Amino acid sequence: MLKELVIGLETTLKNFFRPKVTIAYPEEKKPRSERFRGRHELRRYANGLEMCIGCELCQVACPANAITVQAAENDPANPRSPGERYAYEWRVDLLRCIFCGFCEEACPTGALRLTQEFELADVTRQSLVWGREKLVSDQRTDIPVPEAVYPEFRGHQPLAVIQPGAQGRGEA
Amino acid sequence: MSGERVSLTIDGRAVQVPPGTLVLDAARQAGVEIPVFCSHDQLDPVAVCRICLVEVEGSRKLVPACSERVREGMVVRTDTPQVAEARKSVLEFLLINHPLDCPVCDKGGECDLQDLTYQYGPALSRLADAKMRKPKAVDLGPFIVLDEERCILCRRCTRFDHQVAQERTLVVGQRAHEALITTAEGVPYASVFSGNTIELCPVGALTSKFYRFRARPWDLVRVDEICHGCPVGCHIQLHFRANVEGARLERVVSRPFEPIDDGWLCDRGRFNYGFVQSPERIAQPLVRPLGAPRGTLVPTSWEEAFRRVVGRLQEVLATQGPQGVGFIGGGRLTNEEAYLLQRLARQVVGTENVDHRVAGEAAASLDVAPGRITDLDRAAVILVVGAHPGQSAPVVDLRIRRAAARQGALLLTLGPVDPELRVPHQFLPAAPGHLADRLEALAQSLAGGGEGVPPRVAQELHEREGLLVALWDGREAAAGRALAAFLQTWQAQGREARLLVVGDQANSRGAEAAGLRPDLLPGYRLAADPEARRQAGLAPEPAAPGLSTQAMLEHAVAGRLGFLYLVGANLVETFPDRALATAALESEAFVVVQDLFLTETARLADVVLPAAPFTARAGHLTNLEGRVQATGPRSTDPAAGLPVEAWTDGQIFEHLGEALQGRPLVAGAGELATALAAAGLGSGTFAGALPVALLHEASDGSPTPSGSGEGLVAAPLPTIHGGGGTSRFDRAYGERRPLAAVVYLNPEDAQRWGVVPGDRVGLEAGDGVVEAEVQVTRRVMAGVLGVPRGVPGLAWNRLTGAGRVRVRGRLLEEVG
Repeated sequence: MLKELVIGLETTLKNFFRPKVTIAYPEEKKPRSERFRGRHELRRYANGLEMCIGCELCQVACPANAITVQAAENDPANPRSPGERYAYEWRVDLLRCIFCGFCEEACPTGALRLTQEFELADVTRQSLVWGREKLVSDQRTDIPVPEAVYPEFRGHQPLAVIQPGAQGRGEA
Repeated sequence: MSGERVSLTIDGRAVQVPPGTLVLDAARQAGVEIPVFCSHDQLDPVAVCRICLVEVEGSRKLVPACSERVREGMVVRTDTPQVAEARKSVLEFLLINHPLDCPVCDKGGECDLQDLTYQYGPALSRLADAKMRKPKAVDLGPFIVLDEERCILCRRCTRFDHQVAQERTLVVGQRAHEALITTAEGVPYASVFSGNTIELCPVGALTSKFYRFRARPWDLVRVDEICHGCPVGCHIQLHFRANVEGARLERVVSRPFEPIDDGWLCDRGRFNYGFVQSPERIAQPLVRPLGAPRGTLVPTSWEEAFRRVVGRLQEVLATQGPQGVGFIGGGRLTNEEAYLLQRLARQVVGTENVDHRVAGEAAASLDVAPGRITDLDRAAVILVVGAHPGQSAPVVDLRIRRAAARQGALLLTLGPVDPELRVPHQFLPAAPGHLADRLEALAQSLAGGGEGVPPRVAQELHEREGLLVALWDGREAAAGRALAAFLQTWQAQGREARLLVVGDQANSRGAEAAGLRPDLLPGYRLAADPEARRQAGLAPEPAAPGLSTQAMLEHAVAGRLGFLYLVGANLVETFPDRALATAALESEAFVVVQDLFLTETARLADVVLPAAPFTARAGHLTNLEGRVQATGPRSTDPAAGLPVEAWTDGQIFEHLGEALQGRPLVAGAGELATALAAAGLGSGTFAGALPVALLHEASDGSPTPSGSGEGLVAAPLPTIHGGGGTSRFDRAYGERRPLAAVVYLNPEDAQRWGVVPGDRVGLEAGDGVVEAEVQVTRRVMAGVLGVPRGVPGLAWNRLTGAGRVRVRGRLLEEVG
């Protein structure tokens, strides 16, 4: 009987001194891959304008029908994006989303990125439909507005500096 | 000639076509696809885009298929490397300065340039230099935005404007790579047909202001429909964006149907759709609380509204009998709904007081030489009597323009005001109420007499062989009789004649055929005919002869009509005598109004029932040539997203019928279809027409101007962008086409009354004064004041109902 006890303890002790495989989530988080696909984000250019132009290509690429985009015309005096068009509504149902990344791939301006963020649990379905107010990033990237793509319209200069110094020249 | 055929081979396929056919069309017939940009079925070939180049044996260079005509024994090849190379090069050239903004372009997804580049174009650009920069988002006109960078200069838009609309506003300005589409002298492109250029544009250069950035083509659910704007009945397609709340109606496009529209639409039909989703639509039934003054309306439930209507109707039936009840309207309903309304009135209520005529017209058709819209294409003479086709049947006007400008038809207009026709024509002035005299003179001139007809016109009428097409606006019964006599004289001389009556409302003709006239049962059977009555299940003798709209209003004022039911009829705005209409609505009569909006008329009602717009209903419409066309049914109703409890007009009639008689109004859809087929309104058929004998003064709603001497006679003019309902309550549309309160005077009269163009004047008629700006034009005959109908702020029918109009001079001077 003692023999059996020793055999059992041996297994226990062997595992006791092994390196730990669990982590103390949420204090500690597992490292994610570079290409991890978390929730969406809509980025900004270096001059502060939104990169999204409301083209709806993400919507049509989405295999889960999770994305709805509605576009509108920019007010030249107070533009949201560099071109004529911006997304006044950009909505994703994160419960429907399968995080396949097709939307990111379809985006012609590189506005849409799937971030590393994966902690999306919530208590209602409605709160998991995220709109542009949550998705548009409040950070600028260092990507300049591509000059060749966005010409002036109705007097609006897409390259106009929204904050001096933040603006870079596009590849002509 | 018709039997002659030319044989040729295209890509080895033998094909036989009539001589004069274009290689492009022959290839289409042979099932060979040739890409095109500038070529269009309805426009003359120009061969400017060169994408259609093909190889023809014996010809050293490639030949454009869109302008080359077939020859006997021709051998055409479209599948050689040389042709492929040519297409690729042409596309590369077109793309040199074409911006690659497909993701933000409204045309992206339905763009010819995009599609053909995918199919035939180079995969990569060899362009090393920067592209040309041209202005984007240029306002071309009230509805159109031009992106000059995207334009590939195919000239479809300018050719449409020159060849089809005959307006010559759009031109190509500048030269070579700086060429751009612009308007002559930089004026706005404000044509009534401007929207067609959006559809013609093979790229996204011309786009609609309303549709701009609203949706991508793959978002849209497409529903076939018939336009409800005017009696022409153009074929349209409604595009709904279905993946947003409640399916939003985003645009209206054409669905080419050659016998009617040739693929063209007017701007009213194309852009006036926003009313369907207008927040101003009546959201729920309204009632006037007992004892409250007219104009006070409070929301209520459908049950309560119906209880009020049925209760009061039964009271009136008990006290005044069926003669005390009247139904007005129905020209905007479908044939089915019009029939149900007629049945509700005649069979359930037992009254003959039904009339669809709300704007003083006498008839919506006439059984003399009934014509078709396509008759205009082969007309030798076109006679426009009183009508303003450019305003009330615009797409028909395109055919008139073509016939007169390109086929040499003689165009005569007769009436108090010369319609704006854009093509050379002869105007024969005729004072309001005296159109018949002028027509009688014309008829006499055919026989060699005819006083007062210009000799050149008389001679032309005498010499022209072939078809005469008359367009009549259905006003003045005497004019209708005289026109019928004129057409019969023409026919007696061995020449063909045809008549088109431009009804006042979209389905005037269907309402007439469905029996919404006091003197007619469905199928143009006389209401006084005992046999017809028996077959319709009515008593052989009507209790009292039916009253016309005018008579009903007069009876209401006199207290002999206690219940008035108005369906889609804004009488205060449309009836020629505003004072009478207002007095009738403010009388003791109980007024029920069924409408989409709280119009001037609905405000005075006792009960207002919210009706659903055309997008919610299915049925048939009858156009001005009598063609019965199906509309709907559909699963996409944009109104579904609105907090609106609307019923379709038909559902309201059925509910009322059942509440009144305890059994359904019709036993089922089958019985309704049979009844309509028996009335000559079977789907796909042509409706009958009104017997000339019924054109008597009692049926004439237009008041003849009384009094003589001092003063002008007001002549109402239809206004395409005006109206009492759908355009007035469509804010975005109204902002694009603001309507000015302008009246038109002849130069002589202007001098006599001492006004100059641009003056604001007071116009006095009876005891009413109307303010308006004066424009002076020779289009108006002397002694006549042209007053546009349906302009907010210009109560035209104050001036037509009460004798002659006096101009009270310039208002500024009076104030000062």
